[in-house]
Amino acid sequence: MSERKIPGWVLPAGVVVLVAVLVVIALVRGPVALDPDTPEGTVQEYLLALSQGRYDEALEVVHEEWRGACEASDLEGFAQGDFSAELGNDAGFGQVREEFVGVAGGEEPPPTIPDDAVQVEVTIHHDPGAGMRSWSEFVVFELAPDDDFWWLVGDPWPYFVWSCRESL
Amino acid sequence: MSFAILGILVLLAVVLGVVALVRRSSGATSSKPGDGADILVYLILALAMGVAGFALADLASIAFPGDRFVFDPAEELANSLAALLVSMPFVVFFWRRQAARREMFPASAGWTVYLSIMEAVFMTGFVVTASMFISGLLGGDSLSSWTGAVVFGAIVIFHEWAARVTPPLSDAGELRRVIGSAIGLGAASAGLAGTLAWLFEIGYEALGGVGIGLELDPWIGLVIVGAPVWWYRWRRPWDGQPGVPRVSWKVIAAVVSLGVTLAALTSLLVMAVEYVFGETAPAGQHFEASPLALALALTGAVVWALHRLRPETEPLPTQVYRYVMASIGLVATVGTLVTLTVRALDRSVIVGAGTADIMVLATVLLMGLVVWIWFDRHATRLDETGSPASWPRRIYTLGLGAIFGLVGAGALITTLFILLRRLLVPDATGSILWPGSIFVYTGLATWYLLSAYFRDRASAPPVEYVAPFNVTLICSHPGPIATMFPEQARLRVIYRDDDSGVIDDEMAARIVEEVGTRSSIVWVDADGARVAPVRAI
Repeated sequence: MSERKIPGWVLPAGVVVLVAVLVVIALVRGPVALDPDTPEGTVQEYLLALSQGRYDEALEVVHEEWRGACEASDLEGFAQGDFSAELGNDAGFGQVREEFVGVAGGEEPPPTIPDDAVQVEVTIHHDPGAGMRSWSEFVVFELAPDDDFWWLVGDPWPYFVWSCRESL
Repeated sequence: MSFAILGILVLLAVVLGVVALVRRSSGATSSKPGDGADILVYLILALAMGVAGFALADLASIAFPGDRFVFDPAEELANSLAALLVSMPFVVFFWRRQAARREMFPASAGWTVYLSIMEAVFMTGFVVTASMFISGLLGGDSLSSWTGAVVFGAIVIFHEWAARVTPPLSDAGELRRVIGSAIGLGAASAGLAGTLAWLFEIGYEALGGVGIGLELDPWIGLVIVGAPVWWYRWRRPWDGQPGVPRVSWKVIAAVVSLGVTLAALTSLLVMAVEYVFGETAPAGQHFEASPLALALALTGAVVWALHRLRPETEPLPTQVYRYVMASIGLVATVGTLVTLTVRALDRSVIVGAGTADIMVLATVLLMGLVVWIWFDRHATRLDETGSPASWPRRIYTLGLGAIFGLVGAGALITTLFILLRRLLVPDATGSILWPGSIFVYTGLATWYLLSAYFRDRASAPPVEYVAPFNVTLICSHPGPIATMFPEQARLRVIYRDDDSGVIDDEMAARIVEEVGTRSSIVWVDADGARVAPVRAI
């Protein structure tokens, strides 16, 4: 009885076919586009703008009461390079909340998060590339409704507002 | 002031105490070479030499104003003098002691260790300070550190002279030169990459691109210092065949340099893919890192060519290199396949699943796949000529297969945990895409590697392992029988008082055949030889 041996080209060909199938699926389905009138939609708009370096557009969805005098350059200073993001806390992180702490000085205290604010949990994956270790972090965004739009309130990731609110 | 005097006295007492202890416990000629005490003494000497060298460099920089900023000359002077006062007696005493021992015991392992540490510390110091000095000269910078270069260079030359007078013996003696060549190569290749990037950036800007503003002087300094160091340490004729340090370094250099080249080429491809499929900045800005990537690719290729392994003359190191590259390719393929699957199928990914992201992942994945397949095939082909499989192949198939298997098992546990939690907790969430795809792909990789391992084992001819056995021979004369038993036999001969038990060639062959590999007693007399098996002890 002769041994059946799988030809050497089958494995690489199989991987190539698998890659092609995954690429086709991804391109046909297209990237997820959440409803911009929902809290998750605002978070996606904000994170997409951040990832593509459109800092002025990212800043536009931060409520002006919290944004204060912050400008795109302030946000750019805290930008963290390439990242991807997914909704939820699948990575099993604990509930970590960043508190808004004003810098020392006599600046105006930040407004209180309104009662009708909601939270959106996001897991952010960083991949610096060049063989360096990737890592993930769990982030909670606070959003409050105002004027038929869900605005980011508080000090949203990457936590830049504290650095420029003093110029209010 | 009295505290200062007291402190100096205490330090002197410590120095004299240590010297007296060493003299008493291990006299210069009494202890054996290469033992722990010898290595320990060399380590103390290395520490003392390190402190003295850096203190001397500090002292020199204080002595020559304009060399660098001296924030508090008096304090730095006091520091340097104190360090020299403590370390120099140790250096002088231990150097003379060990020099005398080297005359008597030239194969000391401690000498090799000491020279390697000195090379690592002071050659690095020399390369850094000398390249900074040259960079400062080129850039018109008055704060160059030439005193450091002189002091560290002198210490390197001193140890080079000492190594020539009493060269470290054995393969490990190569370690010093290998470390020096690695330091030189690191500096020279970084300098070459920076210089090339600077040149390419000029061309890039001439074409309308926006560069990242590289400077030339530091890179030129690194090339001017690093290249001769590497040349002197690596290209000078070696004594004897390559030992473990030289072969290992060659494999490391080949893997790292090719890895850098492939990573740089991949990043160039990624830039192009992002530009074609994504919403990016204008081309001139988007490709700003391309001169650097191109320079890294070329530098990696040059280093690889200089440390290339040749399968005809270096079959085993070539196999190690190929299997390491195959492992890197396979790990990259599996890792990127997991990410691509999640990005393609998981609808909770809100950033990172655009067309450009997917195409970038596919590009990286295909690069990893090409690297894996190329090196896997070439290594396997070379391995098939030998039998049984080489140890690099066994580590690749069994070792990497086991690692993938463990990762897959962890992913399976996570997948089951998420599924069970969703069954047991009504509002529990969580996607099984990450752990599930990790489990599937690492499982496939494990299957591929372990099936190759078992195929190798099945196709290799059986190896017979013989346990040591005892043979007690009672005879008048054993003849040539001792040379005819397998090497696992431990032979004991008990002589008879008469001449009736002499073993000739024919009888010896018969006895050896009858004994086989069992422990036995053999009695030889006028009637011939009788073999009685005994229980092995």
